[in-house]
Amino acid sequence: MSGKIIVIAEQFDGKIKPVSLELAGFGKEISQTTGGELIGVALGFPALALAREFARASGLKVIGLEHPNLETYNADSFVQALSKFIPGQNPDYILIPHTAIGWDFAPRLAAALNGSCLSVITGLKMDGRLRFLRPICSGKLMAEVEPAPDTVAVITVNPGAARAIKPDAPGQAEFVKMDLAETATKNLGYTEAKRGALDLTKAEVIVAAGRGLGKVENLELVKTLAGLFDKSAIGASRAVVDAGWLPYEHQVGQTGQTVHPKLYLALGISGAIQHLVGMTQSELIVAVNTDPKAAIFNVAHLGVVQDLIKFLPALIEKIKEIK
Amino acid sequence: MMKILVCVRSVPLPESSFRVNGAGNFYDQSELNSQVNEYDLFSIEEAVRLKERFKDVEITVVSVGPQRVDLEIKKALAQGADQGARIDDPQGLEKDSLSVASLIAKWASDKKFDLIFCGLMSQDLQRYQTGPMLAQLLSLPCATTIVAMTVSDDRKKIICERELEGGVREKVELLLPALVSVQSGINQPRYASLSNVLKARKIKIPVLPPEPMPGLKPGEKTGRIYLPEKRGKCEFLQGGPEQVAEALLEKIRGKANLFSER
Repeated sequence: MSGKIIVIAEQFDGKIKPVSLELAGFGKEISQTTGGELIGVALGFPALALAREFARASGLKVIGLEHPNLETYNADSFVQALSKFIPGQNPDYILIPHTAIGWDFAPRLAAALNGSCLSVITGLKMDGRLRFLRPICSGKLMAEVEPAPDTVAVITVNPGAARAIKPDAPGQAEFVKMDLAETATKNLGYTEAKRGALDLTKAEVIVAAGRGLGKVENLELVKTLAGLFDKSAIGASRAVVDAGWLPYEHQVGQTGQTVHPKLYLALGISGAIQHLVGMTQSELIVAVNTDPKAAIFNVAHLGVVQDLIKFLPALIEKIKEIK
Repeated sequence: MMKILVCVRSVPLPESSFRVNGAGNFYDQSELNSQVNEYDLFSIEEAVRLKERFKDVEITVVSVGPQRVDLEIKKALAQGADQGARIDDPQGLEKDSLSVASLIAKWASDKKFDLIFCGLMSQDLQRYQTGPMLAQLLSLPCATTIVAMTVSDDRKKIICERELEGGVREKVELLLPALVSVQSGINQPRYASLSNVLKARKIKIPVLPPEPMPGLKPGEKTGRIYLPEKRGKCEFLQGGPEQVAEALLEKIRGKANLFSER
């Protein structure tokens, strides 16, 4: 093992996604403790322009892997290409963004390389050797994980785990043509979900509903409360959208919208990492939940441990009094 | 006959109060009530809908763990699966994803399943790993995070919609046999009918020895499990609903003028 750290950029439509620079930032944190060399990798067709873009933005030396099957994302082709390329590099760490593309191929790559997969990593810790941190049980507990001895670690790094890398100077870029076989997977293209008129990023106050509300009828309380604020909008956790209580356009979090209002009122939201990445940048976070151990209180500024069905009417009355 | 496998995990109720175990390397599993991992309920529902459409479909549910996970296998059977199987590993619930995938892969490798369902992740360990690893070990094409799927009439392929960030969907076609990992919200799982619950109770669940795939190195190692450090900035407001509402309002008004006060 060479100590090398490979940073695999994510691209969409021929453009390097910003999460790739956070990933390089996370790689730099590892490199600062281990001294390992950082190398960027971008898969695509054509690959040189992508490799150059990533090298310019990250300052890393970047190698592009090129094949027509890599033009758009294809899990089989990605795993094939990387399984051929990686062994020659002999890295200790392979970093991949924890996104719907990253978590799709990273575990397969780990299995193909006979390595260890460390997923949903939000931080690292050095005490003798490197350990990586993953929130579990909806953030109520943290797990410290590490690769099995003498295996390459394939790590999916959660968005927001590190600051974007600031390059000193553009890195060098090169590319290699890959020889890949046809696969049983075909990418048929992308569609944008129908987005309603609701742009949550414009709201100054977001009143967000979670499954802790208990039943759909209790949404009326949320709507009434939201109506008392200026420039307000109703947000929702994924669970609420899945249950059909509110349409997708209200969803906050990794697969919904990322917001940073002046006030975020989290009502009955547990605070799983998938939700938190969409709202922790809010100026003031108020959480109301009956469970004092809910992970939402780890990011909230003000916490209220109350039954929403009793508390919300009281809050609504108080606001009406001052208006 | 189309053969479908649904992988199911027994998880503690997500609202449970979790404590660290004595060894400090897992959560304390005693005194926790269990349920079928919610993502797996969506998988079972999707499988049952295929059975309703194609009729000659056999749905098998498999789970890795000690005897108590039979409870969850029975619940899956009550949702409409035909048969169950438990890979009898007393430490199965604590193991890393690669080890779990390896046990399922070895058992499934000669069963000729046409389609394998996994949940996107487990609600307790939230690793997103087992499904794609199982696909890799069985050399199957795989799509994760699917929010819609259609099997072709000739049952030779499946078209899936994967949910990416920001509302983008990726359409991907897999030739069967294949594995899919299901995102929540793909359907509304049905409630088990009483007759199905009673029928499921009578189904005997075969107990299988835990055999890993040969030649695999061990996977990820969990060192320590701990309560997250509080960032220490959350101020809890105490009192009855009215008192707390008033205190909260004062704090919010001090922060920003968010009301059009008339």
